Amino acid sequence: MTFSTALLWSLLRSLVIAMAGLIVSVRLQQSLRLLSGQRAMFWWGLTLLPVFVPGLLIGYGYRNFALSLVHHPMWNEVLYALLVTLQVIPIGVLVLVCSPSPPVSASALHVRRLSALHLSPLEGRRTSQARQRLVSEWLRHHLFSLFPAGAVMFLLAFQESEVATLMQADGWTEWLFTRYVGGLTMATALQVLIIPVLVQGIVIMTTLSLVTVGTHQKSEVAQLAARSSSGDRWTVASFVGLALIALAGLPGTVVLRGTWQGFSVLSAHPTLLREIGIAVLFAITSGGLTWVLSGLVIHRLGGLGRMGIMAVLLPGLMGSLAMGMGVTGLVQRPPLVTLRDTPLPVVVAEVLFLLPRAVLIRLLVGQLRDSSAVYAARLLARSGSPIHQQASASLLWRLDVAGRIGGLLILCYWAYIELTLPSLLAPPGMTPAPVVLYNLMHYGQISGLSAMLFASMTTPVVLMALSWWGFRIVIHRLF
Amino acid sequence: MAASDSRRHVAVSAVVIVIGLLIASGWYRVSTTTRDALVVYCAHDLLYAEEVLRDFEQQMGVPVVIVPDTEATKSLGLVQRLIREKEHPVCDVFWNNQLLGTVELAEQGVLEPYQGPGWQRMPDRFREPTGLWSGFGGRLRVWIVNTDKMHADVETIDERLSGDLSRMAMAEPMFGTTLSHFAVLWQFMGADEVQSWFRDMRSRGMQVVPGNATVKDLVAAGVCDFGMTDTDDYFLAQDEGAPVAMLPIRIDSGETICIPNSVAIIRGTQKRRQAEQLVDYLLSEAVELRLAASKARQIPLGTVDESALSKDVRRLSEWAKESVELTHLANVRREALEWLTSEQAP
Repeated sequence: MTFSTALLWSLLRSLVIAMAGLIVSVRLQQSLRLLSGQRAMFWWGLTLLPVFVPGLLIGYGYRNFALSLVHHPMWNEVLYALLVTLQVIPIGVLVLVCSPSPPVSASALHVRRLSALHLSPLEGRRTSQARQRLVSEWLRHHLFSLFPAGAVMFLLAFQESEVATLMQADGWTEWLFTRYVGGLTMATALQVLIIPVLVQGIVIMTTLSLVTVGTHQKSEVAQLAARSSSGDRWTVASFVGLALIALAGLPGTVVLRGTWQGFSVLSAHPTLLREIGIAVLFAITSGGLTWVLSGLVIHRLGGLGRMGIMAVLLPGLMGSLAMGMGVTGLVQRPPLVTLRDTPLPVVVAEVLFLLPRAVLIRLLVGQLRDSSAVYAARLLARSGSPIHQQASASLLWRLDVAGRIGGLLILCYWAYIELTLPSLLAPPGMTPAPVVLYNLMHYGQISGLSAMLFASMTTPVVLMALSWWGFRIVIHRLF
Repeated sequence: MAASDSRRHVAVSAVVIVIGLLIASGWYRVSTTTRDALVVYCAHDLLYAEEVLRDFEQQMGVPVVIVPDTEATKSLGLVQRLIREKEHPVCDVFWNNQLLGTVELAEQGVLEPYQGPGWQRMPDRFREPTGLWSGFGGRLRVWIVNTDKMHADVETIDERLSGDLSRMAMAEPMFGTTLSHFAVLWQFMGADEVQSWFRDMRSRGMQVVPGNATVKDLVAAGVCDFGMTDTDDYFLAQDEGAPVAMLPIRIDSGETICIPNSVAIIRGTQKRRQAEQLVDYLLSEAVELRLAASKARQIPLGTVDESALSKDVRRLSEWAKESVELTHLANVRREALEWLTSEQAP
């Protein structure tokens, strides 16, 4: 397959994924909006879980099945597209929730519809103008409400490479990564990158323009949904069930079955512990820096302006491969070549890559945060009564700190499972565990590799749980 | 109350500083162990190579950092990386899982000569005359056949090769030992003939998959009936109890294709003494016997105690004696690679 064919195929597939994903995510968002209290938290948590399943696990889990479809490549493509769709839908739901309201509100649209309907057929010219305005405003309304979510899902599907490589699904990312490490010169690789970067650039600029033009009131889509939807919880449960079984359940079963048989292999590969340690170091460093930087970006959001926001978020929105190759190009020539043997290029690239996600998380945490309740909890902390202070600590944790710590840990987790950037940029001796495992995956589903994957993928989960618990204790002690 | 707030700020700062110090000490530790270590670029399968290199670490007290190749580009990725890094070398020793890429590096001036005891025990056909590289532990290119689907004999394979090939698998010829195989065909059939042969095979539905292990998986699972792979992959399938058999791939002259590992010291290394120690270690009889005794059943190329070899390896050694000479195929490999790359040009 030539690059042009691979690129066209990726474009087509990503469009289909974005459209299918949009339909499901709008429905999901409507259902989720109707839930409240603890139940809402529970279903939101489950809906977002697919986002956190590592591509490495999905690719490994489906590798053998994908191989069995070698005589039916279209079915393999369908399976791959389905898995990617399931993984991007939760992000679509999040973007729908975080998107500002469109400039043409639903009520305005409704009024326009009513006035168009009530015009007498005798007022021919006015009727036709009113209908044209109605169509144009209907389009504007839906463009502003839905485009950002669809665009983000398109971008994620367009940039995906890890599962594609392991499942042998065709696409431009897989083509470019394989050819580059196989000897394509940096100059040619960067030339080849121009078209995908342009495609993504257009989508990103359009989306950011729409987002910055929209009003920052509570999402209109959500308000409408709350009135129009019957709140079918089955929609959410069906999606969660299907996504978790397909993305985590089936691959997890493959890994667990192998782990049981191959645990002894871990003792023959003591370096895995070091490689896990390196992945943890990259995760904490990149995740922590991204969190701090995203705070600065959010606080300066007004001051930065549209161009400023685009400049800060654009590299990360281009995806790990495009940005990783850009950074690789920079550190291959003086004076930056001196940084090549340090962890700095990986950290910088991961921070840039994670920054848009961090901003999204911060916006979400900000939306969920009730400032007056936090202020009241802080006042309670100043009370002389130990019982009040204890209650204040507990409230502050729930209302304020838990969201931030959760956001930070999620970023660290994403940095941990990131594959493309360290593959391109990690210096000798600093290869994180996921990259090492990816390099071993040509062996197929063997028990030793399953055990190694299990150890590597459970480590961040355990560390996140311990950190959460540790931070909670610290906060309770401090307040 | 202000004092209490101030205490909290101090405590929060202390927690942040402690976490920062822990991260800094972690990076310091990783950096120092990496700085002192011998950097080995290793295209050989890590499951086998890592144990050998860790034993070297323990025996010689020389720390080793292993840089593996990517999953998709077995050996070619590291060869290209070494060429890119020629002016600012990072690697000290290159352990390649095949030969022609190493020959290419020698021609590009990336390697330093070393004629140690390991080099001396290898036959001339598996070492560079000035010591720029030396081969060891070979593998053969073989047909892997699913015996539930077809007979494992030359006649049946020839018959299948003349018809529909949708149930035959071959690894992507741009990479690994399949590229060496392709270079051999290029040399003996001629460029035009190989190109039309490959296009014809593809047009008849031959499955071109990412690697030899994938070929093995497809045939072992019965998804494909036969394919071209390496002996180490074949034995993995056999050991797992898959219904498979193998036959050596022979070119028209009847010769087999034996592809040795190769090892070389990178020009500009700052750890020459340790690099020599590793090269001697890898080229030793003990390591060749160890690779022969591994699941990969690699064929010793130097003189070894024959009684220590398994029946499987003795059979492979006989076939390896009939193998084609590879050392002069670097130019051919380059031509073949250029053509394969142009076939998939952007």
